[in-house]
Amino acid sequence: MKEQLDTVFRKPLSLWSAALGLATANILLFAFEKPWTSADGLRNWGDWLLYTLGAPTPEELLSPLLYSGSVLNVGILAGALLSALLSDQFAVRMSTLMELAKGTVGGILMGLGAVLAMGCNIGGFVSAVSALSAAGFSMMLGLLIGAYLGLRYLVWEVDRFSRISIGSRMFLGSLSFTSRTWLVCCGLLAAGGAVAAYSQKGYSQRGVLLVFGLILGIILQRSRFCLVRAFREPFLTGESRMTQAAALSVGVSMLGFSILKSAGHRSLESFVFPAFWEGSFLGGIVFGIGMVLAGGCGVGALWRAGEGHVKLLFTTIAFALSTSIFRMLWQDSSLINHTGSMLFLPDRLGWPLSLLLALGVLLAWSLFAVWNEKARGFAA
Amino acid sequence: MSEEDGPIKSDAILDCTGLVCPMPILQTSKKIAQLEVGQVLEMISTDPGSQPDLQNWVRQTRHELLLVQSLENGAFRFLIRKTHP
Repeated sequence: MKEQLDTVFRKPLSLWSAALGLATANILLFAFEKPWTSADGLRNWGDWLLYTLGAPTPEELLSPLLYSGSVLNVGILAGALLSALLSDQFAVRMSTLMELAKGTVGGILMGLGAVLAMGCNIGGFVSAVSALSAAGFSMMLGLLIGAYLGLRYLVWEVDRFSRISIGSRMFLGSLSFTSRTWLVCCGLLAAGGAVAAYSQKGYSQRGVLLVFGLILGIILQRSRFCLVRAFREPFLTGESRMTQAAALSVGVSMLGFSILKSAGHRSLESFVFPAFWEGSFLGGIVFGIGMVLAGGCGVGALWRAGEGHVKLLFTTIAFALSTSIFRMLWQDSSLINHTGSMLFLPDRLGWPLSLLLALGVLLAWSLFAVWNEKARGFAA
Repeated sequence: MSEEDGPIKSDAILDCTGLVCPMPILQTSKKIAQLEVGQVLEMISTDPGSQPDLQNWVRQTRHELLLVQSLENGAFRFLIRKTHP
Protein backbone atom coordinates (compact mmCIF):
# COMPACT_ATOMS: atom_id res chain seq x y z
CA MET A 1 0.00 0.00 0.00
CA LYS A 2 2.74 2.42 1.00
CA GLU A 3 4.76 1.65 -2.12
CA GLN A 4 1.76 2.12 -4.44
CA LEU A 5 0.76 5.41 -2.86
CA ASP A 6 4.32 6.69 -2.99
CA THR A 7 4.71 5.89 -6.68
CA VAL A 8 1.48 7.68 -7.51
CA PHE A 9 2.07 10.76 -5.39
CA ARG A 10 5.83 11.06 -5.57
CA LYS A 11 5.93 11.28 -9.33
CA PRO A 12 6.37 14.97 -10.13
CA LEU A 13 3.89 16.69 -12.41
CA SER A 14 5.52 17.97 -15.59
CA LEU A 15 5.97 21.72 -15.93
CA TRP A 16 3.94 21.69 -19.15
CA SER A 17 0.93 20.02 -17.52
CA ALA A 18 1.25 22.44 -14.62
CA ALA A 19 1.40 25.41 -17.00
CA LEU A 20 -1.81 24.32 -18.75
CA GLY A 21 -3.51 23.36 -15.47
CA LEU A 22 -2.75 26.73 -13.88
CA ALA A 23 -3.89 28.62 -17.01
CA THR A 24 -7.14 26.64 -17.08
CA ALA A 25 -7.72 27.31 -13.39
CA ASN A 26 -7.08 31.02 -13.92
CA ILE A 27 -9.57 31.21 -16.83
CA LEU A 28 -12.19 29.35 -14.77
CA LEU A 29 -11.53 31.66 -11.81
CA PHE A 30 -12.10 34.70 -14.09
CA ALA A 31 -15.29 33.19 -15.47
CA PHE A 32 -16.42 32.29 -11.94
CA GLU A 33 -15.54 35.49 -10.07
CA LYS A 34 -12.24 37.22 -10.77
CA PRO A 35 -8.78 36.20 -12.00
CA TRP A 36 -6.15 34.64 -9.79
CA THR A 37 -4.52 37.07 -7.38
CA SER A 38 -2.37 36.50 -4.36
CA ALA A 39 -1.42 39.87 -2.89
CA ASP A 40 -4.97 41.00 -2.10
CA GLY A 41 -5.66 37.88 -0.07
CA LEU A 42 -2.39 38.39 1.80
CA ARG A 43 -3.33 42.03 2.39
CA ASN A 44 -6.58 40.88 3.94
CA TRP A 45 -4.54 38.73 6.36
CA GLY A 46 -2.30 41.70 7.14
CA ASP A 47 -5.26 44.04 7.71
CA TRP A 48 -6.90 41.50 9.93
CA LEU A 49 -3.71 40.78 11.89
CA LEU A 50 -3.10 44.50 12.49
CA TYR A 51 -6.74 44.96 13.46
CA THR A 52 -6.61 42.14 16.03
CA LEU A 53 -3.40 43.67 17.39
CA GLY A 54 -5.33 46.90 18.01
CA ALA A 55 -4.76 48.98 14.87
CA PRO A 56 -7.68 51.08 13.60
CA THR A 57 -10.07 49.16 11.35
CA PRO A 58 -9.67 49.71 7.64
CA GLU A 59 -12.97 50.85 6.04
CA GLU A 60 -14.35 47.54 4.86
CA LEU A 61 -12.57 44.68 6.59
CA LEU A 62 -14.00 41.30 5.69
CA SER A 63 -13.10 38.30 7.82
CA PRO A 64 -10.32 36.19 6.24
CA LEU A 65 -12.88 33.37 6.26
CA LEU A 66 -15.06 35.33 3.84
CA TYR A 67 -12.60 37.38 1.78
CA SER A 68 -12.30 35.53 -1.51
CA GLY A 69 -8.57 36.17 -2.06
CA SER A 70 -7.88 34.96 1.46
CA VAL A 71 -9.96 31.78 1.02
CA LEU A 72 -8.06 31.04 -2.19
CA ASN A 73 -4.72 31.50 -0.40
CA VAL A 74 -5.79 29.27 2.49
CA GLY A 75 -6.66 26.64 -0.12
CA ILE A 76 -3.22 26.93 -1.76
CA LEU A 77 -1.41 26.61 1.58
CA ALA A 78 -3.54 23.62 2.59
CA GLY A 79 -3.31 22.01 -0.84
CA ALA A 80 0.48 22.25 -0.79
CA LEU A 81 0.58 20.82 2.73
CA LEU A 82 -1.63 17.86 1.77
CA SER A 83 0.34 17.26 -1.40
CA ALA A 84 3.66 17.43 0.47
CA LEU A 85 2.34 14.97 3.08
CA LEU A 86 1.15 12.56 0.38
CA SER A 87 4.49 12.69 -1.42
CA ASP A 88 6.48 12.47 1.82
CA GLN A 89 8.06 15.85 1.13
CA PHE A 90 6.72 17.60 4.18
CA ALA A 91 9.37 18.49 6.73
CA VAL A 92 9.99 21.40 9.04
CA ARG A 93 12.96 23.06 7.35
CA MET A 94 14.45 25.61 9.69
CA SER A 95 17.11 27.97 8.35
CA THR A 96 19.66 30.22 10.01
CA LEU A 97 18.45 33.45 11.62
CA MET A 98 20.11 35.46 8.85
CA GLU A 99 18.17 33.49 6.25
CA LEU A 100 14.94 34.12 8.17
CA ALA A 101 15.82 37.82 8.14
CA LYS A 102 16.37 37.68 4.38
CA GLY A 103 13.00 35.98 3.95
CA THR A 104 11.41 38.72 6.02
CA VAL A 105 13.10 41.52 4.03
CA GLY A 106 12.03 39.77 0.83
CA GLY A 107 8.44 39.68 2.08
CA ILE A 108 8.53 43.38 3.03
CA LEU A 109 9.88 44.34 -0.42
CA MET A 110 7.26 42.21 -2.16
CA GLY A 111 4.52 43.80 -0.04
CA LEU A 112 5.70 47.26 -1.12
CA GLY A 113 6.13 46.22 -4.75
CA ALA A 114 2.62 44.79 -4.84
CA VAL A 115 1.19 48.11 -3.60
CA LEU A 116 3.09 50.13 -6.24
CA ALA A 117 2.14 47.74 -9.05
CA MET A 118 -1.41 47.18 -7.72
CA GLY A 119 -0.83 43.44 -7.64
CA CYS A 120 1.88 40.86 -7.09
CA ASN A 121 3.41 38.85 -9.90
CA ILE A 122 0.17 36.88 -10.16
CA GLY A 123 -2.42 39.70 -10.10
CA GLY A 124 -0.09 42.38 -11.49
CA PHE A 125 1.75 40.29 -14.07
CA VAL A 126 0.15 36.90 -14.93
CA SER A 127 -3.48 37.99 -14.69
CA ALA A 128 -2.83 41.56 -15.88
CA VAL A 129 -0.97 40.41 -19.01
CA SER A 130 -3.71 37.85 -19.60
CA ALA A 131 -6.22 40.69 -19.33
CA LEU A 132 -4.16 42.64 -21.92
CA SER A 133 -3.43 45.45 -19.47
CA ALA A 134 -0.35 47.41 -20.47
CA ALA A 135 0.64 47.58 -16.80
CA GLY A 136 1.19 43.81 -16.83
CA PHE A 137 3.94 44.23 -19.41
CA SER A 138 5.70 47.07 -17.61
CA MET A 139 5.61 44.98 -14.43
CA MET A 140 7.13 42.08 -16.37
CA LEU A 141 10.05 44.30 -17.41
CA GLY A 142 10.43 45.48 -13.82
CA LEU A 143 10.37 41.89 -12.53
CA LEU A 144 13.13 40.91 -14.97
CA ILE A 145 15.33 43.78 -13.81
CA GLY A 146 14.51 43.12 -10.15
CA ALA A 147 15.24 39.40 -10.43
CA TYR A 148 18.60 40.19 -12.05
CA LEU A 149 19.51 42.72 -9.33
CA GLY A 150 18.39 40.39 -6.56
CA LEU A 151 20.47 37.56 -7.96
CA ARG A 152 23.56 39.78 -8.31
CA TYR A 153 23.15 40.66 -4.64
CA LEU A 154 22.91 36.96 -3.65
CA VAL A 155 26.00 36.08 -5.70
CA TRP A 156 27.90 38.91 -3.98
CA GLU A 157 26.59 37.84 -0.58
CA VAL A 158 27.67 34.21 -1.01
CA ASP A 159 31.04 35.39 -2.26
CA ARG A 160 31.72 37.81 0.57
CA PHE A 161 29.58 36.57 3.46
CA SER A 162 28.99 32.91 2.72
CA ARG A 163 28.25 32.26 6.40
CA ILE A 164 24.87 33.98 6.06
CA SER A 165 23.49 31.05 4.13
CA ILE A 166 25.08 28.05 5.80
CA GLY A 167 23.21 24.89 6.71
CA SER A 168 21.16 25.12 9.88
CA ARG A 169 21.19 21.40 10.75
CA MET A 170 17.72 22.04 12.17
CA PHE A 171 15.54 19.77 10.12
CA LEU A 172 12.60 17.74 11.26
CA GLY A 173 11.97 15.35 8.43
CA SER A 174 10.08 12.31 7.35
CA LEU A 175 6.91 11.61 9.22
CA SER A 176 5.91 7.97 9.40
CA PHE A 177 3.55 6.62 6.77
CA THR A 178 0.80 6.11 9.34
CA SER A 179 0.94 9.64 10.71
CA ARG A 180 1.03 11.10 7.21
CA THR A 181 -2.05 9.08 6.25
CA TRP A 182 -3.89 10.23 9.36
CA LEU A 183 -2.98 13.86 8.75
CA VAL A 184 -4.11 13.69 5.11
CA CYS A 185 -7.43 12.10 6.12
CA CYS A 186 -8.00 14.76 8.78
CA GLY A 187 -7.08 17.47 6.26
CA LEU A 188 -9.51 16.16 3.66
CA LEU A 189 -12.27 15.89 6.27
CA ALA A 190 -11.58 19.45 7.41
CA ALA A 191 -11.68 20.72 3.80
CA GLY A 192 -14.94 18.87 3.16
CA GLY A 193 -16.37 20.22 6.39
CA ALA A 194 -15.37 23.77 5.46
CA VAL A 195 -17.00 23.50 2.02
CA ALA A 196 -20.18 22.12 3.63
CA ALA A 197 -20.19 24.87 6.25
CA TYR A 198 -19.80 27.58 3.58
CA SER A 199 -22.74 26.30 1.56
CA GLN A 200 -24.90 25.93 4.67
CA LYS A 201 -24.25 29.55 5.64
CA GLY A 202 -25.05 30.74 2.14
CA TYR A 203 -21.45 31.29 1.02
CA SER A 204 -21.12 28.34 -1.34
CA GLN A 205 -19.03 30.55 -3.66
CA ARG A 206 -16.30 30.68 -1.00
CA GLY A 207 -16.37 26.91 -0.77
CA VAL A 208 -15.72 26.69 -4.51
CA LEU A 209 -12.78 29.09 -4.13
CA LEU A 210 -11.35 26.92 -1.38
CA VAL A 211 -11.44 23.94 -3.73
CA PHE A 212 -9.81 26.04 -6.47
CA GLY A 213 -7.08 26.93 -3.98
CA LEU A 214 -6.53 23.30 -2.99
CA ILE A 215 -6.14 22.33 -6.66
CA LEU A 216 -3.72 25.20 -7.32
CA GLY A 217 -1.69 24.25 -4.23
CA ILE A 218 -1.45 20.62 -5.31
CA ILE A 219 -0.44 21.55 -8.89
CA LEU A 220 2.21 23.98 -7.62
CA GLN A 221 3.71 21.58 -5.09
CA ARG A 222 3.76 18.57 -7.41
CA SER A 223 5.31 20.47 -10.31
CA ARG A 224 7.37 23.06 -8.40
CA PHE A 225 6.12 25.54 -10.99
CA CYS A 226 7.75 28.78 -9.90
CA LEU A 227 7.68 32.24 -11.43
CA VAL A 228 10.78 33.30 -9.51
CA ARG A 229 12.62 30.55 -11.34
CA ALA A 230 11.14 31.69 -14.66
CA PHE A 231 12.59 35.16 -14.13
CA ARG A 232 15.79 34.24 -12.29
CA GLU A 233 17.02 31.02 -13.89
CA PRO A 234 18.22 32.52 -17.20
CA PHE A 235 20.63 34.61 -15.13
CA LEU A 236 21.68 31.69 -12.91
CA THR A 237 21.93 28.18 -14.39
CA GLY A 238 20.56 29.26 -17.76
CA GLU A 239 17.85 26.59 -17.61
CA SER A 240 15.01 27.72 -19.87
CA ARG A 241 12.18 25.21 -19.34
CA MET A 242 10.56 27.12 -16.49
CA THR A 243 10.58 30.35 -18.51
CA GLN A 244 9.00 28.55 -21.46
CA ALA A 245 6.37 26.95 -19.23
CA ALA A 246 5.53 30.31 -17.64
CA ALA A 247 5.20 31.98 -21.05
CA LEU A 248 2.98 29.13 -22.24
CA SER A 249 0.78 29.39 -19.15
CA VAL A 250 0.31 33.15 -19.49
CA GLY A 251 -0.30 32.83 -23.24
CA VAL A 252 -3.04 30.26 -22.75
CA SER A 253 -4.80 32.19 -20.01
CA MET A 254 -4.55 35.32 -22.18
CA LEU A 255 -6.53 33.58 -24.93
CA GLY A 256 -9.15 32.46 -22.41
CA PHE A 257 -9.39 35.93 -20.84
CA SER A 258 -9.71 37.51 -24.28
CA ILE A 259 -12.60 35.23 -25.18
CA LEU A 260 -14.37 36.04 -21.90
CA LYS A 261 -13.84 39.76 -22.44
CA SER A 262 -14.56 40.07 -26.16
CA ALA A 263 -17.68 37.92 -25.87
CA GLY A 264 -18.96 40.31 -23.22
CA HIS A 265 -18.95 37.84 -20.32
CA ARG A 266 -16.55 40.06 -18.43
CA SER A 267 -16.00 43.81 -18.56
CA LEU A 268 -13.19 44.97 -20.84
CA GLU A 269 -11.61 47.02 -18.03
CA SER A 270 -11.44 44.06 -15.68
CA PHE A 271 -7.89 43.74 -14.30
CA VAL A 272 -6.68 46.81 -16.14
CA PHE A 273 -5.20 48.92 -13.36
CA PRO A 274 -4.01 52.54 -13.46
CA ALA A 275 -0.38 51.53 -13.01
CA PHE A 276 1.01 51.96 -16.51
CA TRP A 277 3.85 52.43 -16.42
CA GLU A 278 5.49 54.05 -13.41
CA GLY A 279 3.80 52.09 -10.63
CA SER A 280 3.97 48.70 -12.28
CA PHE A 281 7.56 49.16 -13.51
CA LEU A 282 8.96 50.36 -10.18
CA GLY A 283 6.77 47.93 -8.27
CA GLY A 284 8.05 45.14 -10.51
CA ILE A 285 11.67 45.99 -9.71
CA VAL A 286 11.08 46.12 -5.95
CA PHE A 287 8.97 42.95 -6.06
CA GLY A 288 11.55 41.19 -8.23
CA ILE A 289 14.37 41.88 -5.78
CA GLY A 290 12.17 40.73 -2.90
CA MET A 291 11.09 37.46 -4.50
CA VAL A 292 14.68 36.45 -5.27
CA LEU A 293 15.84 37.26 -1.72
CA ALA A 294 12.96 35.25 -0.28
CA GLY A 295 13.22 32.38 -2.77
CA GLY A 296 9.55 32.54 -3.68
CA CYS A 297 6.92 35.08 -4.78
CA GLY A 298 3.66 35.59 -2.88
CA VAL A 299 2.19 32.30 -4.04
CA GLY A 300 5.60 30.59 -4.03
CA ALA A 301 6.06 31.56 -0.39
CA LEU A 302 2.58 30.21 0.42
CA TRP A 303 3.03 26.76 -1.08
CA ARG A 304 6.58 26.39 0.21
CA ALA A 305 5.39 27.40 3.67
CA GLY A 306 2.81 24.61 3.31
CA GLU A 307 5.68 22.25 2.53
CA GLY A 308 7.40 23.24 5.77
CA HIS A 309 9.98 25.89 4.83
CA VAL A 310 10.14 28.17 7.87
CA LYS A 311 11.90 30.94 5.91
CA LEU A 312 8.96 31.19 3.51
CA LEU A 313 6.51 31.25 6.41
CA PHE A 314 8.31 34.37 7.64
CA THR A 315 8.12 35.76 4.10
CA THR A 316 4.36 35.18 3.95
CA ILE A 317 3.73 36.96 7.25
CA ALA A 318 6.07 39.84 6.36
CA PHE A 319 4.41 40.18 2.92
CA ALA A 320 0.93 40.31 4.49
CA LEU A 321 1.84 42.93 7.09
CA SER A 322 3.97 45.03 4.75
CA THR A 323 1.44 45.16 1.94
CA SER A 324 -1.29 46.09 4.42
CA ILE A 325 0.76 48.89 6.03
CA PHE A 326 2.15 50.31 2.77
CA ARG A 327 -1.32 50.26 1.24
CA MET A 328 -2.67 52.37 4.12
CA LEU A 329 0.25 54.82 3.91
CA TRP A 330 -0.14 54.94 0.13
CA GLN A 331 -3.83 55.71 0.22
CA ASP A 332 -3.24 58.59 2.64
CA SER A 333 -0.53 60.12 0.47
CA SER A 334 -0.99 61.94 -2.82
CA LEU A 335 1.45 59.51 -4.47
CA ILE A 336 -1.43 57.20 -5.26
CA ASN A 337 -2.36 59.50 -8.15
CA HIS A 338 1.07 59.12 -9.72
CA THR A 339 1.32 55.40 -10.38
CA GLY A 340 0.31 55.80 -14.01
CA SER A 341 -2.70 55.36 -16.24
CA MET A 342 -5.09 52.60 -17.23
CA LEU A 343 -4.35 51.17 -20.63
CA PHE A 344 -6.31 48.29 -22.10
CA LEU A 345 -4.27 47.37 -25.17
CA PRO A 346 -7.20 46.62 -27.53
CA ASP A 347 -8.54 50.15 -26.87
CA ARG A 348 -5.40 51.55 -28.46
CA LEU A 349 -4.40 48.86 -30.95
CA GLY A 350 -7.49 46.79 -31.62
CA TRP A 351 -7.84 43.11 -30.72
CA PRO A 352 -5.75 41.38 -33.44
CA LEU A 353 -2.70 43.59 -33.05
CA SER A 354 -2.90 43.50 -29.23
CA LEU A 355 -3.00 39.72 -29.12
CA LEU A 356 -0.22 39.46 -31.66
CA LEU A 357 1.95 41.89 -29.73
CA ALA A 358 1.24 40.25 -26.36
CA LEU A 359 1.91 36.74 -27.63
CA GLY A 360 5.01 38.13 -29.36
CA VAL A 361 6.36 39.44 -26.07
CA LEU A 362 5.83 36.04 -24.41
CA LEU A 363 7.44 34.26 -27.36
CA ALA A 364 10.40 36.63 -27.28
CA TRP A 365 10.82 35.97 -23.54
CA SER A 366 10.97 32.20 -24.02
CA LEU A 367 13.17 32.46 -27.13
CA PHE A 368 15.57 34.66 -25.17
CA ALA A 369 15.69 31.97 -22.47
CA VAL A 370 16.31 29.19 -25.01
CA TRP A 371 19.01 31.17 -26.81
CA ASN A 372 20.60 32.05 -23.50
CA GLU A 373 20.62 28.40 -22.43
CA LYS A 374 22.53 27.45 -25.59
CA ALA A 375 24.84 30.43 -25.73
CA ARG A 376 25.12 30.71 -21.95
CA GLY A 377 25.02 34.42 -22.53
CA PHE A 378 23.81 35.51 -19.12
CA ALA A 379 24.21 32.44 -16.94
CA ALA A 380 26.27 33.08 -13.83
CA MET B 1 25.50 7.15 -10.80
CA SER B 2 26.05 4.52 -8.17
CA GLU B 3 28.42 3.56 -5.47
CA GLU B 4 28.76 -0.01 -6.72
CA ASP B 5 32.53 0.20 -6.90
CA GLY B 6 32.73 1.01 -3.23
CA PRO B 7 31.84 4.28 -1.56
CA ILE B 8 33.14 7.39 -3.27
CA LYS B 9 35.32 9.50 -1.03
CA SER B 10 34.44 13.16 -0.89
CA ASP B 11 37.10 15.82 -0.53
CA ALA B 12 34.82 18.44 0.95
CA ILE B 13 31.39 18.58 2.55
CA LEU B 14 28.86 21.37 2.10
CA ASP B 15 25.89 21.57 4.44
CA CYS B 16 22.86 23.26 2.84
CA THR B 17 20.17 22.00 5.23
CA GLY B 18 17.29 24.43 5.60
CA LEU B 19 18.31 26.52 2.59
CA VAL B 20 15.84 27.38 -0.17
CA CYS B 21 16.71 27.89 -3.83
CA PRO B 22 18.84 29.44 -5.15
CA MET B 23 21.13 29.35 -2.09
CA PRO B 24 22.24 25.67 -2.37
CA ILE B 25 23.26 26.27 -6.00
CA LEU B 26 25.16 29.46 -5.21
CA GLN B 27 26.94 27.80 -2.28
CA THR B 28 27.78 24.71 -4.36
CA SER B 29 29.08 26.88 -7.16
CA LYS B 30 31.37 28.74 -4.78
CA LYS B 31 32.60 25.57 -3.08
CA ILE B 32 33.34 23.81 -6.38
CA ALA B 33 35.42 26.82 -7.45
CA GLN B 34 37.65 26.26 -4.42
CA LEU B 35 38.30 22.57 -5.22
CA GLU B 36 40.94 21.06 -7.51
CA VAL B 37 39.91 19.38 -10.77
CA GLY B 38 38.99 15.75 -10.04
CA GLN B 39 38.01 16.36 -6.43
CA VAL B 40 34.53 15.45 -5.19
CA LEU B 41 32.13 17.64 -3.23
CA GLU B 42 29.47 16.15 -1.00
CA MET B 43 26.42 18.37 -0.61
CA ILE B 44 23.51 17.81 1.77
CA SER B 45 20.25 19.72 1.25
CA THR B 46 16.65 19.55 2.42
CA ASP B 47 14.79 21.51 -0.27
CA PRO B 48 13.07 19.10 -2.70
CA GLY B 49 13.72 21.75 -5.36
CA SER B 50 17.48 21.42 -4.98
CA GLN B 51 17.50 18.14 -6.91
CA PRO B 52 16.24 19.52 -10.26
CA ASP B 53 18.23 22.70 -9.59
CA LEU B 54 21.48 20.81 -9.18
CA GLN B 55 20.80 18.67 -12.25
CA ASN B 56 20.30 21.84 -14.31
CA TRP B 57 23.42 23.34 -12.82
CA VAL B 58 25.70 20.39 -13.69
CA ARG B 59 24.22 20.28 -17.20
CA GLN B 60 25.17 23.90 -17.70
CA THR B 61 28.53 23.87 -15.91
CA ARG B 62 29.49 20.36 -17.17
CA HIS B 63 30.64 19.13 -13.79
CA GLU B 64 29.75 15.53 -13.02
CA LEU B 65 26.91 14.54 -10.73
CA LEU B 66 28.07 11.19 -9.35
CA LEU B 67 25.25 10.50 -6.95
CA VAL B 68 21.80 11.73 -5.97
CA GLN B 69 20.52 10.04 -2.85
CA SER B 70 17.39 10.48 -0.74
CA LEU B 71 18.40 9.97 2.87
CA GLU B 72 16.28 8.20 5.47
CA ASN B 73 15.47 11.43 7.29
CA GLY B 74 14.12 13.08 4.11
CA ALA B 75 17.25 15.07 3.25
CA PHE B 76 19.16 14.76 -0.03
CA ARG B 77 22.80 13.90 -0.59
CA PHE B 78 24.72 14.77 -3.75
CA LEU B 79 28.23 13.92 -4.89
CA ILE B 80 29.66 16.25 -7.53
CA ARG B 81 33.04 15.84 -9.22
CA LYS B 82 34.80 18.94 -10.48
CA THR B 83 35.71 18.17 -14.10
CA HIS B 84 37.37 21.36 -15.27
CA PRO B 85 38.77 24.58 -13.81
